[in-house]
Amino acid sequence: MSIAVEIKNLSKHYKNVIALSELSLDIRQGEIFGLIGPNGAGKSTTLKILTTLLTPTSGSATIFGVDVSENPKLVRTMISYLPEEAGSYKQLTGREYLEFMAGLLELPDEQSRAEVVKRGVGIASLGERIDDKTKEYSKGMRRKLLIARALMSKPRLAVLDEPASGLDVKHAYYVRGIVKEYVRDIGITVLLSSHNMLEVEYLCDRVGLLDEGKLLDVGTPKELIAKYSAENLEEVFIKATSDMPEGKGVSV
Amino acid sequence: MIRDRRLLLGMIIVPMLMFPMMGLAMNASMSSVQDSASSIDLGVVNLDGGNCSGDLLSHLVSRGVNDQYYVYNDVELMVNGTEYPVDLFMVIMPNFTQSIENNGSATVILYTPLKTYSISEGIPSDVISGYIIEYQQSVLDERMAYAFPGQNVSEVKDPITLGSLSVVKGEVVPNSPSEITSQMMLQSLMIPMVLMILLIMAAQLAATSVAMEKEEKTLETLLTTPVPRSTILFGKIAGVVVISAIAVVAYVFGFSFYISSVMGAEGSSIDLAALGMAPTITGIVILFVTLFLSLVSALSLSVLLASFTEDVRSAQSLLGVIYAPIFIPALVLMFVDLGQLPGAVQAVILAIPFTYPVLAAKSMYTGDFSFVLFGIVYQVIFTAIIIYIASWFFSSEKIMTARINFKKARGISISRKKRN
Repeated sequence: MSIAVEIKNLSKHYKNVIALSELSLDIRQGEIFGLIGPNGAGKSTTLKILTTLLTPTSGSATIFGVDVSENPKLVRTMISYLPEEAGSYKQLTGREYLEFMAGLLELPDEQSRAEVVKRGVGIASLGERIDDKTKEYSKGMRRKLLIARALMSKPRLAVLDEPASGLDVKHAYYVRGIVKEYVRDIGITVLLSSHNMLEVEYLCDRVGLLDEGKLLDVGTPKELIAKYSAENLEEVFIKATSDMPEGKGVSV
Repeated sequence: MIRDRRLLLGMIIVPMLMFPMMGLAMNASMSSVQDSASSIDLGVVNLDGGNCSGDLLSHLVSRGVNDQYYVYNDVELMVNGTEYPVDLFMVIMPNFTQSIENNGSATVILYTPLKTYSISEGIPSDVISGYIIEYQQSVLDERMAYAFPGQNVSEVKDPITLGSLSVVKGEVVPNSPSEITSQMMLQSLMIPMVLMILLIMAAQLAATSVAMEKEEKTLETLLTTPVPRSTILFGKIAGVVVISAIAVVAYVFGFSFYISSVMGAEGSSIDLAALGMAPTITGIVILFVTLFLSLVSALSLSVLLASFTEDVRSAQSLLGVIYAPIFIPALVLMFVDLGQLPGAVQAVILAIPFTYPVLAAKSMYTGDFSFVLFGIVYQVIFTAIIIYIASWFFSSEKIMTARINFKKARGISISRKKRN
């Protein structure tokens, strides 16, 4: 399986904070990879570097062979990013929002744009409410719309930061279902972050455990559960953090 | 942004309706004051009873004062009254007739009961005083005719006839300089006022459009799309420029109506075009060039400032930084000419890029574009530098991380937001 994302010794330092330290990681094409860890572990920083919003202090990251620091414009044509706290334009209807965002994509013609929007409307599954202004949406409805926006263009890499965070059970279930089904159907690569270990266990082919800016371990959920003799990923994480020697992580 | 009805209301509908309504209100209030002057209810206490006091009263009636005036016999009763059916009282003092007939000085006293203390309450007293002065003038003319028999009374009274004319662009015009300058002030007041309001509203709009992207968490998504960052920046600026262009029309229309309403009520308009002082096409083009450059530089600056904030409220607060440079040239040059200012103040004013539309507005009438042409070059350089900085800022991660921390106790400091 070819490599979609290759991260080598990636670090991000702010004035007094080390947000990410020497992260090395590969994500395979067509898999759903989950970065898990508590708040402040470095998950969002990693995603923001990969989506060209932040520049690394040191190290490198490539997406389908394109370096995110050297050619961010090309990277942006291959990715789609759903931030953790994303919003929609309140004055637009759900459909208008999808149309507006489709207009920002590099699409060959109007027909392709219409197809992308149609796909987005289908993924959002908001029924007639798709033509209501997004300011009238509940949080769950808005998140469904935003997930649809992120996936409608069939990006080569979809980067989803806490895709189901803060949603009620019904909406969270739907969002997880969309991610899993959509990836299976069209074969895109997904990198997502979550502090919900059970969600990641359900969704991801492989997971990386992050804590305090360092990668603790990587593997399939089954492998990690077996390796740490745990019942679930939550327990794996607790054991991994207690096993980690001070100041050291692993490179995979 | 255009979908936001508040925007349509604030920048287009309000000026188009507000200024004309203000003008109509001013017009109506001035007209009502003028109307009230013609129907003054006067209470009269005539302690003289002679021919001359009768003549005075006849003169007042002839000038339109209500001839059904109230007659009182006692000053005390009049002043102590609690309910006043009149606007004011006139007391003609004893020996009024005798004093006038003997070339002495007679006395009339006006009493005005104040109830609401509004300006209109003072008008009846001024109007009646004017009529009394007219009567006094007629008495004086009679005395002069008696003292200087066979001579022209008006020539005796005015030994010097003073003519005050103006020379405009080498042509003598039949108006005094103060008449022309006061008219010019109204003209040159309007453009700086409109410019000031417009630039501030446009700056607010641009800052809001960026700050709202941050506040509503849409900026991160936008910045990861294939659209170049510079296109996003120029898109923001171009959108506001288009809205501002529509707003210019709305403001000019509204404000012109306001000025013409007020001027119409005063009846003091001078046709500057007839005096050869109409703005030239070159002048108008130069004004629009300076206005466009001011708009673009103000908007770029606003977008840049708003990029340092997290939400609309912080952006609006930070925008206060550019209000002073917008206000100062407009307010200063509204009343004085640039050349009348001390050298250091001139340098400060000329360093502000928003000065030049105000100067261009004046130059439209004077035809002297020397400072304005220099200003256009300066504005282009200033705008290019600001756009370059804003583009660099938008293209770097600073758009995500740089923040102005309002919580710092001492002044404003730029910090980087901590990330997880």
